[in-house]
Amino acid sequence: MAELGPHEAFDLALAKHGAEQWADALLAADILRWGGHRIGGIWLTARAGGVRDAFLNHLGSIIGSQDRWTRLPPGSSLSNLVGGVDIAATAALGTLVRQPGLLWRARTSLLLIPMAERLDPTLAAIVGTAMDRQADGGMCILALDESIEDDDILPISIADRLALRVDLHAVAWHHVTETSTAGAASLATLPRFAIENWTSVTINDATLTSLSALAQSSRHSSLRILRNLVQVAKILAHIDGRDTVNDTDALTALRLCLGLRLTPSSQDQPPEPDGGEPPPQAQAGEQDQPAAPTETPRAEAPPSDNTAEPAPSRLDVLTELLAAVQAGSLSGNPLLLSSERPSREKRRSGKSGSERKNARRGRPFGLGLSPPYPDARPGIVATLRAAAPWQRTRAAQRAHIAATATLTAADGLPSATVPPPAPPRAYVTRDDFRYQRLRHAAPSTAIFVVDASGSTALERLGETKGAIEHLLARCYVRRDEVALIAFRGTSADVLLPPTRSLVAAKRKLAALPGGGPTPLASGLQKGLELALAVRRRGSTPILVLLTDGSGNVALDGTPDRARAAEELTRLARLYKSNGLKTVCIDIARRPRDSVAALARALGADLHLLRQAEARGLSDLVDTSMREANR
Amino acid sequence: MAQPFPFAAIVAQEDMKKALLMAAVEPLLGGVLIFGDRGTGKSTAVRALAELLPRIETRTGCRYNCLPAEPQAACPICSPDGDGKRPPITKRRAPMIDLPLGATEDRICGALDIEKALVAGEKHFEPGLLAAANRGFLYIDEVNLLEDHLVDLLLDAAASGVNVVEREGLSIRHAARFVLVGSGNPEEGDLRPQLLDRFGLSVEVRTIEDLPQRIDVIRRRDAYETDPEAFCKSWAKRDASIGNRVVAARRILRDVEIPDHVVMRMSQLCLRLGIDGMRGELTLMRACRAAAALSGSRTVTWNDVAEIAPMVLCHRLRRDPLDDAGSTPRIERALATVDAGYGHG
Repeated sequence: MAELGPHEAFDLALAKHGAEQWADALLAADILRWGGHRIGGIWLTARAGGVRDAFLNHLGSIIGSQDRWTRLPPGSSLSNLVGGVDIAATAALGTLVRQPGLLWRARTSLLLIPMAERLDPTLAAIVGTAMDRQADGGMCILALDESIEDDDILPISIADRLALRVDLHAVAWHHVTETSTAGAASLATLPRFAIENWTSVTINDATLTSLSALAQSSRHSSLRILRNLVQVAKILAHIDGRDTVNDTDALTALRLCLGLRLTPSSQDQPPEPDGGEPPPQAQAGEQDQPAAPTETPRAEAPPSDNTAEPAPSRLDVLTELLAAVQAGSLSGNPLLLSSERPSREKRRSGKSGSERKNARRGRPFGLGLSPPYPDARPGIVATLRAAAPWQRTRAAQRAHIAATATLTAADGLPSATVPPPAPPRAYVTRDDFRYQRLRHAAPSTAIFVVDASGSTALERLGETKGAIEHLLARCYVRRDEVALIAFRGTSADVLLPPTRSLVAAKRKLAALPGGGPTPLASGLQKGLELALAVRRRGSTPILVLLTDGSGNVALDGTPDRARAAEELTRLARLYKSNGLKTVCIDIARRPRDSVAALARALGADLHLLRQAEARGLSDLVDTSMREANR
Repeated sequence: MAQPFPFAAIVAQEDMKKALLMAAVEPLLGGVLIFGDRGTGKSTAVRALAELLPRIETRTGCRYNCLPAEPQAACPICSPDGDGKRPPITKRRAPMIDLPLGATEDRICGALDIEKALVAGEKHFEPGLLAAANRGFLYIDEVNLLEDHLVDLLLDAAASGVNVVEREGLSIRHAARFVLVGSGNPEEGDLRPQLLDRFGLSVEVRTIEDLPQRIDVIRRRDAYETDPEAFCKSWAKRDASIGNRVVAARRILRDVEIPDHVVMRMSQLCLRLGIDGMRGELTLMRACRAAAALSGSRTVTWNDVAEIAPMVLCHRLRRDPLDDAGSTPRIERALATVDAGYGHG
């Protein structure tokens, strides 16, 4: 920030923005106290630090102290969350011992999820379901999101259910000390989660309509979000002592829930309400009317602050906000948009499991002392076998302990004559547990998409054929497969479906013709289809694209360069969103920009191959396949 | 969960409601897949459905939901060893089992009771979720995130109606007749086509865009949360009438007839859409029967077919990765050509 220069107005705006954020945060905490599980909870975007701690302390002071919250430890397993059988305790005590899960413990309080952006989607879905199913007195969630940029985002199944968004990025330390003690003391008399008090607040159709329209046009069309908006607006009205929701409440709710905030928009650049970026300098209030909504919310805690300001055009404010949203000059929290979430590699869930060593299925390849995945059950036979040699010593030990115990008991309390429990048949301790490890074979398939058009590619065809044969010879050892798609003329053909057969491949390759225009889009489409099919079969596809330039034939075979280019970008986006590993090889005599651009769009590694050598090519692909399998 | 949200009070989403009711009428349909946006009331609808269905009869303490008249050999309560006495018959709500995403194979199928095995050295079968879901519903939220081998297992049990456990020295068979309902958000991953095919019906739910309806949703939800009992009471009559419709439909289901010309046109439709295998046609027939029974008629008309066809056939079409429009229009086009009498190709 220093390089922007010591500009007074800028500093002022920065300070004001921070103060507003902090005031909003306090307000959100207050709303959570009223709303409790009805509004889900708070999505707190902040890095670890003093400001966040101050906020958590404040929250603790109004909804019950922090040590009564339940923390979801990072990387916690499923059984940890939903509870299960405590095997060690069961084995030690001889009776069934169940341990309650975190969700059960948090059922009436607050579940704190630190590093929520790293939460496994499976766990997130379970937490989400638990939030839906609770009857009353339920829990609310405080998700601490520490993500930078959008490398990881809060799982949408939780984000969708949390009503309030608090962003503390712009809050500096001095804002905190100013305001933190303002309202807390007077609020302490109210009961925690005072839900029944505000449910009688009504909302008229006009406000509801504009709320719905606003939520929808800012592309938060989920009904859960709308419901949360309404509830927050009601709570705001109740805090203010009214029994109907007015537009001010609606505006504040929009800001707290969606991060929608109307800033002076006379400047050309769109304001960034939530990005931690300060609003432009013109914040100082040169236009009365649009600045009003940012001022109004703080009417809640000190009731005398400003009563006249929002009066002039209340209805217009919502309409104007709607107009701004529709014009696209204003956007709320971008991470919430479910329709255009950044795609990311799926972590340990779903179909990505095929490459794992510690798979849940596959061929057993040995025994392990630690569970291969969090909820693995020990292999009974192996466990008992491991326990077998110790039985005699353990029995003796147990008898000794029992004897000393009864001895001391007899000394102290003469009447404590509990009959000793029957000795278990097998003494099994935690150290004995053995787990069957499974390995899931993870083959990969190299799909060659080859330009066989009449341009320079033609002479490279022979090379490609050679490379494929080379690869097949190696693949036989590794159980990998190779497929070949060639495009020329008006369309692309799958010449060689995924195969390990050297003979079949050679026969097909020998007959591959060349010549004609370049239907690159068609080739990529076929490649995508095949790659997805390969992936569905549990193999890892690696796409090797050999081309020398841009396509000039559209998908339907017509020679239309513009349409072909457009289709190409669409296809490239599909490749990226599917996370396909792609290697792009420029086989033109001179490297071309169009190929580089295509490689970027595909998210592919770009290689230049000017020398005609099959071995080089096959080495390249081989390395990629190994990398992809790692 | 004292009182689920009433089924009748769910706004719009007619396709989803209809598909669920059809599956409730004809369990052989093989499950319903609900794909779509978040917050569209998928789970609400499923939970509500279990509430309005007639209660099932079984014995106290039975964990397999046995019919009192047909005790299963696997159930130690309903078929006790020697001359043990059977507990009395009770009625309970149609089971509605939630399958948590992280469930293991053991938990689903049932397995050797490891605690008993380790502690007491007894071989004892611990029934799983499939047993608990017998004669009811098994609901999987985010089915696309579930591990593939578990989905395989579930679909197999749903199709055969029997759960067979052969592991760890156990050999158990018990009935697992349930309606499988899966829901998910396609943005988070797809299902394998082989699996898609095995769901009988597939409906796509979209967030309601219509403003009055959206407002209705919020109002009703609000009323429900303020006072669940009063709200449920005010909808009880409509809920009961839906329940009665299902019961009546179940009764006449076997008598519903499909005229030959309708069957022929169904085949033409499937041919035209290039749907592999007979499963599509069979499901279409069953679904049409269920739909006709639901509307109280004893013959299937072509209108029934036209209405049902998208939800039966949509997910069986070959997918075109570049086709953004979805497969419903394709089915509608095919329906139109068959309608117009050009369907002889």
